[in-house]
Amino acid sequence: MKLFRWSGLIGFVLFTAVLMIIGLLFLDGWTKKAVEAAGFQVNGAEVTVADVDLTLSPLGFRFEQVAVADADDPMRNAVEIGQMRLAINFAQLFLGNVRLEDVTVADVQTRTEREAPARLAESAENDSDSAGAEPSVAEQQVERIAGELPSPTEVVNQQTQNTREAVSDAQQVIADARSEISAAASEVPDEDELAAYRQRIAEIKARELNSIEAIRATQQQLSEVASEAAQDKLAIESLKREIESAAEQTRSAVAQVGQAPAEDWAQLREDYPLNQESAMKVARLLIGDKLFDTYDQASYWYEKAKPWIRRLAPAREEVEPAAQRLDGTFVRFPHPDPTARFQLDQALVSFRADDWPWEMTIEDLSSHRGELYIPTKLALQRGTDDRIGLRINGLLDRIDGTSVDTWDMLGQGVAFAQRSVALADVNLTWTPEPANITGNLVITDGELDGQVQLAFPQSNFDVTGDGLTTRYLRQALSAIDAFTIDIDLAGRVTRPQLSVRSNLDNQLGDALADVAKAEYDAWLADARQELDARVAELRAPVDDAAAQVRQQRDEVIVRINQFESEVEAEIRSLESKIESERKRLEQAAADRLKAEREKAEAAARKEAEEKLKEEAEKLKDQFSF
Amino acid sequence: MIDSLLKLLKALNSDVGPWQISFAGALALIIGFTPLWSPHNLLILLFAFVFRVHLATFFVFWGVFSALAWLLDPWFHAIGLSLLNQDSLQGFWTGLYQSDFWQATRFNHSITLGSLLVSVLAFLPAAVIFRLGVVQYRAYMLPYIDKLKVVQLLKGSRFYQLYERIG
Repeated sequence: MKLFRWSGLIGFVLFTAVLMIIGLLFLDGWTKKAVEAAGFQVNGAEVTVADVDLTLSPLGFRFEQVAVADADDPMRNAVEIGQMRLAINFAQLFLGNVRLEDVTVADVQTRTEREAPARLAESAENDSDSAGAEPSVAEQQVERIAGELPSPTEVVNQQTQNTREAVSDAQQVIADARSEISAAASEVPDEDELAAYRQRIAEIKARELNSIEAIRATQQQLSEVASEAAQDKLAIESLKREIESAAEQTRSAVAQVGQAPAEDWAQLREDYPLNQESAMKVARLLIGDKLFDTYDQASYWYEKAKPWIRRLAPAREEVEPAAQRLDGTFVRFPHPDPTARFQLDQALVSFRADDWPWEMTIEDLSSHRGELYIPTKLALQRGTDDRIGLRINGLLDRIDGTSVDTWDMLGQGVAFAQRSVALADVNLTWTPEPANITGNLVITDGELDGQVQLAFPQSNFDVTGDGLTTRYLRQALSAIDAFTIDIDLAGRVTRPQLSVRSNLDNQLGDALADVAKAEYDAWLADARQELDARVAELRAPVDDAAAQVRQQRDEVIVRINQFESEVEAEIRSLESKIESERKRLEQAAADRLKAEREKAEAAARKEAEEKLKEEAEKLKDQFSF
Repeated sequence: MIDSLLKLLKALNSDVGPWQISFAGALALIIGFTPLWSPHNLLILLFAFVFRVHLATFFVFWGVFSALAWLLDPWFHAIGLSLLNQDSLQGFWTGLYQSDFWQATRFNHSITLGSLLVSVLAFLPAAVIFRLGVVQYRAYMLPYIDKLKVVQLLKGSRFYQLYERIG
C-alpha cells in the first residue's frame, strides 16, 4: 500500500491556491470598502479611497488618493492624502491585533475643494451636538475676545444691555404715566362745566343785595356753587397728586435711562481691560496670525484625535481573573516588544507647506499600557536633514493613567515676513531677520505648561506718523537690533492662556506700553463715542415720550389753574362782596336801630320829665292847702 | 454525513487497511478536540489529505470528537492554564512568546494548549486502540453480524443494493 495520497496533496494545494487567489482578487475591494465605511463612521463625513492595492513586499496595502471630507464643510476635504503605504503584521492581525509596522504618507494637503458635497453621518452630527464637542457660543465669544479687541461698533452692539433694559422699562413706565394723566385730565372740569360755573356766578353777581333776605338767598345760592366747586377742587387735588406721581415716575425712569449707559460703560471696561487681551493683540500683531492659526489647527486635530487615542487603551484582557467555560484564557508573558491591540511601529508623513518640505514621523504609537510601555515619539520637521528650518519633537506618555505630552521645539533661521502695524496713528514697519525658536511645552492631562522663545538677531523698524508717540517709538526702536519674545503657555489645550514677554520691553520700555495704552484709549474713545451715539439713539423715544408726559401734565395744570382762577377766585370774590354787603346792611340797620332807640329814649325821658313835672305840680298844689 | 457514515461502515466491513481507519480516527481526535480555528489544524487537514487515511472515517470522528470536546473543554482549560502558569515552565513559555510564529499558534490559549497536549498524547494510543478495535471487529463481530437475519434482510433489500452501487 502506498503511504501517500498524491491526489489529496494536489487537491489540498489547489484548494488553498484558489482561496488565496480569490482573496487576492477581492481583498483590495473589501479593504477599500472597509476603510471607507470605518472612516465614514469615525470622521462623521464621507471618506473616499481611489484605489487600494495589496503589496507583498512589504506585506501590506497601498492606498491612493484618500480624501477625508470635512464634517463642518462638506464641500471641502479636511485632509487629502496622495499616497499611503501600510506595512501590516499579518500574524498579529490573525491574533486580532492591529500592528502597523510602517506607515508612509506622502503628498498631504488640507482644506482641498471637493467636486461634489460629501455625505454626512446624521448620528455623528447629533452625537457631537449632544456631547458638546463644539464650543458653546459663550466659549467662542471668549475665544474671539482672546483673539483681539473687537470693533467699537461690535462691542457697543453687545454692551448696551443695561441701557436697552432701562429704555424698555422707561417706555413702559411712561406709557403707564401717559394713560394715568389722560385719565386724570378727563376728570378735570371741562369748558362746558366752566361755562356753567361762569353762568351761575354771573347770575349771583346780577342779584340785588338790598336786603338781608336777599343776601341770605344769594349766600345760599353761592354756597351751593362753592360746595360743588369744593368737591371739584377735592377731586382736582387728588388728580394733581396722581399727575405728579406719574410725572415723578417718568422722571425716575428717565433718570434710570441716564444711569444705565454708565453701567454699560463700566461693564465694557471690565470686560475689555487693558491686560491679557491687549497683550494678545500686540503679540499677534508682532508675531503674525499664522503661528496662532497653526496652533489653533494643531489644537483642533489634537481634540479630534483624542477620543481615538483614548480608545487605544487596552481592554484589560491580560488580567482576566477567571476562566470562562469554552472561551479559555490567553496568558500573556513578558515581551520587549509587547503585543498591543493596536500598535504603530513607525510612520512617516511628508507634505509641502509654506514652500517648505515638511516631515512628520511617529514611532511606537501603542495601546499597550503595561510595564513595557514605550512612550510615543513624534517629530515634525520643516526642511531637509541638511537644512532644518524647524524641528518639533514630541513624547506622548500615557503611563499610569496620566497623559503627559512633552514637546520640544527648535528652529533656526525661521523667516518672518515684514509686518506693518498701525498703532495709535503710528505706522510701524518691522523687518525681522530670520529668527531662532526654542520652546518646551508639557501637557499634563490637557493642562499646558511651557515656554516658547523667539530670538530675533536683527530687526529693522521703520516708524512713520505724527505726534509724540511716533517720536518716542522711533527713538526707542532706533537703538534695537536683537530682542527676544517669550511666550508662556498655561491653561487648557482647548483654551490656552498666553503670556507674552519680551526683552524688547526693556528697550522699548514705556514707549510701547504708551502706544498700547494710546491704542487702547483710542479704542475706548471710539467705543465711548459709539456708546453715546447708541444711547442717544436708544433714549430718544424715551425723551420724546417724557416730554409728551410733561406737556400733557402742563396742559392739565393749566386747566386746573384756569378752574381755580375762574371759579374759585370768583366764588371767593363773591363771598367777600356778599359778606361786606351783609356787614354794610347790618351796620345800617344797627345805626337806624340806635337812632331810633336814642329817639325813643329822648321821647321817653321827655315824657317822664313832663310827667314828673306834672306830678310835682300836683304835689305842690296839695302842700299849698 | 450519512454518506461518510455508510462509507465508514463499508470500510469496517471491507478489506480497507486497519491502520488507515485507525490513523484517520486519531487525526480526527486532534482536530476535534482542539479549537477549530487554530493554525495546527491546517496541518492536520493536510496530513489527512496527503496520507492515505480513510477520509470518511476522519470526517465522522471529527464530528464525534468535536461534540465530545464540548464536555471536555473545562478539563482542557484547567490543564492548559496550569501548564501556562507553571513556575518551572515560565522561561519556556516566555521564550516561545518572543516569537510571532509561536504567538500565532495560540499556544498561550489555555484550551488550545490543554486540548492539543491531550490529543497529541492520545494520538498513538488512540491509533493503536482503533486498529485493535477494527481487527477484533472483523475477526469476531463481523461473522456474527453477517449471520444475523436482520442483516441478511438488509443485504437483500433494494436499499443495500443501491448503497452497493453508489459505494
